[in-house]
Amino acid sequence: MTVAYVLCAAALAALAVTTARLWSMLAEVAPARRMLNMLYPASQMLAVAFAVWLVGAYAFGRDAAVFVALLGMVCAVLDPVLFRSVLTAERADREAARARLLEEQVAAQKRHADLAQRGAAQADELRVKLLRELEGLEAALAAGDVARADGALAGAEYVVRPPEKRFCEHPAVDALLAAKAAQCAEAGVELGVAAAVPLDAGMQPVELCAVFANALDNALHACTAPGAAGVDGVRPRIELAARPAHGFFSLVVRNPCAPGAAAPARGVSGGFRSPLGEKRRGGGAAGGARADAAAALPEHGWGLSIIEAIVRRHDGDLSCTAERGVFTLSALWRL
Amino acid sequence: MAAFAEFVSGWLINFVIAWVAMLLLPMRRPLAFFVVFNLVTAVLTTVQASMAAFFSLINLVINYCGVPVLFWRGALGRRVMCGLLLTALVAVDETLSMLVFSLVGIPQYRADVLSPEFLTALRVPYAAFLVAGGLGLQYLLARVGFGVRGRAGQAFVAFAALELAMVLAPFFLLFYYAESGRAPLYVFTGVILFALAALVAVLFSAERFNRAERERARSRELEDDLRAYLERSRAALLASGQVARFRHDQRNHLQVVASLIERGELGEARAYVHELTDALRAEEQAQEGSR
Repeated sequence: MTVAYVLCAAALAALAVTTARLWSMLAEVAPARRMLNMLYPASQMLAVAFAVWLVGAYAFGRDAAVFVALLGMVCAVLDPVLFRSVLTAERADREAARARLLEEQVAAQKRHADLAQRGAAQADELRVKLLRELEGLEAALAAGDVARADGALAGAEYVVRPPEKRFCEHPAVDALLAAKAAQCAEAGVELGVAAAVPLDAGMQPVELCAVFANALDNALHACTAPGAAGVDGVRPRIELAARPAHGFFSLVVRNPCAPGAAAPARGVSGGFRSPLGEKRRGGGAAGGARADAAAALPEHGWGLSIIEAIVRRHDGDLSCTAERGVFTLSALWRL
Repeated sequence: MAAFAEFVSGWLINFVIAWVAMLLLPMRRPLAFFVVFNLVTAVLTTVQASMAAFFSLINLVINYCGVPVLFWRGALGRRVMCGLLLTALVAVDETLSMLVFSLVGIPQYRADVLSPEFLTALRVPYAAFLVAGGLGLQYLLARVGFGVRGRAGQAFVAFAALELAMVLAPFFLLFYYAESGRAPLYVFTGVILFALAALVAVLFSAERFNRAERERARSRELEDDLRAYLERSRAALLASGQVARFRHDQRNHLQVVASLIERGELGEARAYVHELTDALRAEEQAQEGSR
């Protein structure tokens, strides 16, 4: 009998440890789903507890209790493998969001690559056009026709006019910003960009685009969410500032947010918790303020979690604040 | 007549379980499965009544899990998972039946003291629960399509197998010590329903796992595409940088020409333009020569 009790106690203790491990592993998961996943270790513990209760209360099933306790120990050993798969499963939505984002980036980069290739292929065409204009200019000058020469000169100047303005030097980010600017224009949102993104911004282009795209997607989502439109007919505006400074790269995106989050009386400022449940680090506001900010900014979810993961990989930090109706995302990472 | 009806109803339950097994996954040889399935039950029912509980457990494991797994089509992990679910379904049905027996004050598995008519009547809700549960499982499996492979798939199946083993051991005890009172049965009903919920949750978790893996694979492909486009962009931008430099140089030259025209030095301007056109023609010829 004692053996059964000891083994059951050991199994319960081992399962309790794995339960605690699963609980901490699923820290990034929403509370409801986190609780649902606790079904696995809880059901195992329940079976062991039932077996030991039968032995204690009814004095039968000692061998069965030993058997169940041994199985419980096997479960405690194997559960970490299951929990890793469970964690992967819980990241399905995040993986889907990442893939969707990448799809957008691929489309933007393809457009950009096509345009760049077309631009590069224009060299010959440009030379021919310029030559034609200069021949006209030369003929006009030979004839002493100043008016015609001015016209031909204007034509030549048009041929070699500067190309359209680019957002930044980094081709991937430039393409992305162009695509997002078009999206913003389509949604009736103004986008102000002050970006100085060098070719080496401390990250692979894929990651860099993920950070910029998620930050802008979240801002655009917040701007187009019901109740977040511009006040008194004023178009909502997103401000993006990106630049390297003192060995770090800084990205700041500001956008108007839902009125609830903007209430200054509540002092909404600091970190918040995304729909995934991931903790965000911010200005150190109280927990209540965090919950308020999270509730008021429901769209800042997967994107922020992706940004945070990338930024942290690059020895950086992400902070979000909502103050006076303006949501500010600040990401900083080492160059 | 009543005894015959009771005998037939007993076998009908077996047929229903076989039918549910055929619902869950496509069978390789349905007729052979049906024969083997009923043969195993026939052999196990010939054992002494005192061993009925033990053989009922054996029947659960071998007949409701092992035999269908041998005959089902598809990946082994999926077949084993379905076998475990079918076993769990029958175990839940048995438990609920025991609960009903207990609530109405009928001694467990005492066919000798119960009338055949009564036993036949009792099997109706039992069969109805099996049919409903079977259809529910069929719907679930069609929806989640459990099909993970590799270590992750094995982890989900191993969890389900261990979970079931842990609840079947006390299940056997309840058969054996059926007269011990109602409380263990009540508690066990909760335990087995909890275990069933965990098994169903594992199905959904496996499905989410599949989705996560699919999305991850898609992301990897997209990242490769993105790298390729970035490479293309970079090469094109290098070329367009040369074009930009050319534009810049030419704009400077045109500013000089404009100043000369403005000052009325048309001859100088013409000579300057001539130099430009010569240079452009030379470049053009060089380009053509390099092609």
